[in-house]
Amino acid sequence: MKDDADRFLPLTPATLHILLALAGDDLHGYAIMQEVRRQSENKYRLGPGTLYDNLQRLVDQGLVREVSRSAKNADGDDSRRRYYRINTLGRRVLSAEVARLEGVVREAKLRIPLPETRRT
Amino acid sequence: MLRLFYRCLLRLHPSRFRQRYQAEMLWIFDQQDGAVGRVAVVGDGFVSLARQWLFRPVNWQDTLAAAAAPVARSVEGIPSFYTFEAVRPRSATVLNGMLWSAGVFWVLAVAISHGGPSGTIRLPRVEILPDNVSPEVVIAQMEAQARSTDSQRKTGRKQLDTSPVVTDETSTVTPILRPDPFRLPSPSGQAATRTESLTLVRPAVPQTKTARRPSAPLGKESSEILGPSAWMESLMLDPSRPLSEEQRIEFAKRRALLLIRVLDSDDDGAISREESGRATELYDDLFDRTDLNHDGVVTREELRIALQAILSSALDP
Repeated sequence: MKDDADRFLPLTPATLHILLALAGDDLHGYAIMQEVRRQSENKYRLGPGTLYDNLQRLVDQGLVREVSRSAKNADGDDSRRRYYRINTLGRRVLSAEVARLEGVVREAKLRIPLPETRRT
Repeated sequence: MLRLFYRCLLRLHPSRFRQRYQAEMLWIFDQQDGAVGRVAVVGDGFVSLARQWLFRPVNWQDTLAAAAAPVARSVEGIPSFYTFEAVRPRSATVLNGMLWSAGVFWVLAVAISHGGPSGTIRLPRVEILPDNVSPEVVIAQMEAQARSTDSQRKTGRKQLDTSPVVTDETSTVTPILRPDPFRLPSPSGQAATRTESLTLVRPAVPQTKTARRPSAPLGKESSEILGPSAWMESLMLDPSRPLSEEQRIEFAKRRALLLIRVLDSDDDGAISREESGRATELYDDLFDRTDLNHDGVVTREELRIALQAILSSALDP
């Protein structure tokens, strides 16, 4: 199981942020973009081309799957919008990536002084 | 306008990607506030387009497979045929073709730019004469043709004595590449006419050579010095024969008189200031015409050929 997730590591920044955004709830494309911007405090922005290219790869790799859900638009009309949901394998890959990054941060703290992070 | 441009950009994406995500990407573009956000989305579209075609080989396979699929016949029954093979060209092959094309284009551009004063590529036109035509006859015919087109030459000049002079020894005529007869700038200042043809002369049986005596205005001395052309021609045709001191002096005298005769365009026996001013352009023209292969250097062989042609035409009145 662990080896199954490790073969996807390391993740690209775009893939990491997309999986992190989907870890909370099923989201459509534009919502993923907004969630990524919020999580990175506006430091990392995804364009639609980059977003859907990564989503296509994640779907092909089995980390994410598409779900169809109706949603009301601003005019109150129902519109079929493509939502994305993270799979079990995707959660394991995300956990493995976070663990890897924790090890990197731990090593970094031992060697170089890091600035204090502001908690919001 | 920007939205239309973005739609065209999305249209260029692979069909598989376009069918799945074009509507959502366009909707995201509409959600952007302000021109900055929309321009950023368009920029991301360019990156996405490059990524899909350069780093996603599955898109090439899908596109080529779709193009190679048999197309249904049209209603009119016009048959269709395959235009693509389901093979993606290798990047090295494409790069190799690009380099070869650029190299060939560069070579052609250099060749055209260095082709000559006019920037054109000049190729000699080689004419092969029949065996029974002597070089002197050819020169006489070409000079007669040039004379008929020169409206500045004076009429009524005395003709030279054309009594034949038989040489003591037979001289061998070796195949040579000979330029056209040397034509001087006309007194009106017009540039000399150049012809680009070169004449390849086959070995011919030496015929009776004719020598034309110079006209009277140059005086008795000149008539003695500018003697039969056969003497000088024999020197030209046999470069292995060493010249004696007397022959060299005689040769130099004849060349000097030739130069005088060339500059004296009004044939009054004297060179005016205006006539001497043409010496510089005359020299440049002479050098260019002597340099047969136009490599900027006049070799001994080129000089020999040029002097032979000059002497042949100089004896013409």
